[in-house]
Amino acid sequence: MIIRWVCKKCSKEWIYPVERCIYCKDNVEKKISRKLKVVGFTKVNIPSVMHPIIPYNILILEDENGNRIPKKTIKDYEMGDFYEEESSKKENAVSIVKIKYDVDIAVEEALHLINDLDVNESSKILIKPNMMATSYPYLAITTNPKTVSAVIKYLIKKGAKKENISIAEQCIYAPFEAALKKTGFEQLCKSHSIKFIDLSKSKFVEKDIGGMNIKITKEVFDKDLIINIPVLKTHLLFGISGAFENIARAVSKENLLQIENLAKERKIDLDDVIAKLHKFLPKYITIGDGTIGMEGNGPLNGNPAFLNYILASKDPVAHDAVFNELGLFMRKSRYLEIANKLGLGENNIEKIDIAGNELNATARELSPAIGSKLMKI
Amino acid sequence: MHYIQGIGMTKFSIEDKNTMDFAQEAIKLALDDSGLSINDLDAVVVSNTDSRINGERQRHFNSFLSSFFRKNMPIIRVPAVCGGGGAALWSALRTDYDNVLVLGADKIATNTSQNVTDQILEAADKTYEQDEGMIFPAQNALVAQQHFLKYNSNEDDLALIALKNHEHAFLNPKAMFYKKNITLEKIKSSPIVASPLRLFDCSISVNGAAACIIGKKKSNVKICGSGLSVDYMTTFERKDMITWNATKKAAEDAYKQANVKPKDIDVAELHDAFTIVELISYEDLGFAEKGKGQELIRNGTVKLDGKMPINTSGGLKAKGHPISPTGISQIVEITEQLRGECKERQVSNAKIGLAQNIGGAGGTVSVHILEKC
Repeated sequence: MIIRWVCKKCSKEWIYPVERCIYCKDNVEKKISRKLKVVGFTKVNIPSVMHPIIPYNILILEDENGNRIPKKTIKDYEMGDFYEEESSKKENAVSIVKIKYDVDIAVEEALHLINDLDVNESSKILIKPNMMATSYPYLAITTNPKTVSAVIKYLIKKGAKKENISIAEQCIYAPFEAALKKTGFEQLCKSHSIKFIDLSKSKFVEKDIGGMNIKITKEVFDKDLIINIPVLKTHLLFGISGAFENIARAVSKENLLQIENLAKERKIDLDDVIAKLHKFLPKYITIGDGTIGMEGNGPLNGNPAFLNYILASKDPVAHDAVFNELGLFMRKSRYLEIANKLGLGENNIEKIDIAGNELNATARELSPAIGSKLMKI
Repeated sequence: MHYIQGIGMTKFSIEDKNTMDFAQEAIKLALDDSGLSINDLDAVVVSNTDSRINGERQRHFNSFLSSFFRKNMPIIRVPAVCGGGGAALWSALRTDYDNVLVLGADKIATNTSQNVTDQILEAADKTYEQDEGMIFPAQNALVAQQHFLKYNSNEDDLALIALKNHEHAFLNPKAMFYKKNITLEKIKSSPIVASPLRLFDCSISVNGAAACIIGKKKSNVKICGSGLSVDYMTTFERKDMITWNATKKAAEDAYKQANVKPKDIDVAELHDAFTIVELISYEDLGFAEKGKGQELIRNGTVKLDGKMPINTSGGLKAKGHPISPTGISQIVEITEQLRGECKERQVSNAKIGLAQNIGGAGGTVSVHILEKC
């Protein structure tokens, strides 16, 4: 996909968003072309920090208007070959889309590559971002409101009604109102006229998970579509924080604190609990927010990783397995294997259908969460 | 009119010294060469890359220089990645001081090649180039491929450019490859870094510093042309990947100011970060018609004993490329050629010389023309 921002009047073009033409002041519109031909290529044999897997190819792709972009790929191409990223209809498909300045387009493309979402004007939709802390979005502890905004725009474009869309989350360690403001969600909800539900104040239904009575918010049971939008992060306990960790906050605060304490006392297996929880949750879509992402001692004390990609999948196990591979982590999150055995999704990377960017063409080494004496609790 | 008052440079090497140590040596040599003292300097224009990987963490290098000089004066820093040295000289020439020291100092060869490659990659666009693995050898490999396809040039032409520059460096005591015999066979059998470019098509990262003092007092070398131009960040958004307009525009300005034509140039230092860059620069600087640059290396025009010797210092390829000092080291070489001080690699009867310095893939280009007085 080649995106150009083009002045309607004087046809000047930019490779990044420009609000108005700097010459004639006219409006600038996005033009997207998908029919791309290979007009140049090179095979790179030396690794760099950002691109450790070699060899890889860089193609120069050209559209019918002569616009060009470079594209990294592991596959070999010849001059004149057509380049296309095909949408996957497989349930375990995971799309990887690198952001080219525009998060809206990246999210739209990520969802298109997993065969889009079935949405209409009566669809009741719940968006579950990460708002676990009182933190600015640039720290990547919480979901970037830009990503959530892009999802809302996508849903409305597909026919959903604003009044049927809600965002829901609860803060475990921070005052809800303060977090809502600092994370940028208050402003986001205002600008889109979307309501934000504090899940801690919602009604709950009780489920027996491995002998424990767990309360799960009722909000997730009366919706047609749930969209889980985790920040792609490292996590001291699970290795990574993705779909599973984020949706876990559909459980009541008291249960979450109880689980945390039992895990500290080694009375329960956290990976087992987080996997089994999914047996009681309705199906959901995951959109992994890698606009920034985190590496190091996540989920709270890591560093921004500047991943610059979006993931999307209808299979949360496959989604998290792909992020595990993208970070080249030695440790494979154990809950993925448990979840796979429970029939909750695919954890074998060889069996997952990757759409969009190739996994090995996107992967780079992220610092794992290993803890530090200086960490804030 | 500005004249070269003094020049100095360290040997380009992988020696492990602090950037400031390299800078001190180059400054001392330039001052000695000029006969001036620190008190005679009115201002300093410095270029360095703010490397994150050499362990120094010295971002405010201009103030650091003031600590060395023990003097308060204007010291400004001009960053333009690999084109920093030339851009610093261009900037200094636009000041009204009597004597300005122009300095480039960098320590690059201090880390794993992965980290150095990654550091240099920061000179490319983040979204379209860095994220897509467009390391600089790949950028230039794609340029080479386009030139091969359009103009029938080939890998052998690039190998001959590499060989020529190694032959020149063999004679230059300040070059990384001084007295190192590199054969055509070795060049052609070196590993492919980014097809079609081989290891010996790429310049070598080194440490070092270079300095020149420019001033209004007449000397034996004057700077008669100075052009600088900037092109779009990415080669793919330019109409033609193999014509670097910033070189053409900077050269046009420099030729006009100097009132000379490309055919008047007796000796030139070009920015051969990759052999293909030297080849397309023959064309963009007007030494050859577009698409015929390869003829200059095939017929020997650009060799030391040719009609227009190019990169007599060994170029970035074999003298070494320490990033910011590169552009000023070119001025050092041209000045020495015009003064007749190059001994074994001296170009006979050199009167007019040209230096072309590039930042990024044709992003920031300066062209300076020097004339023997």
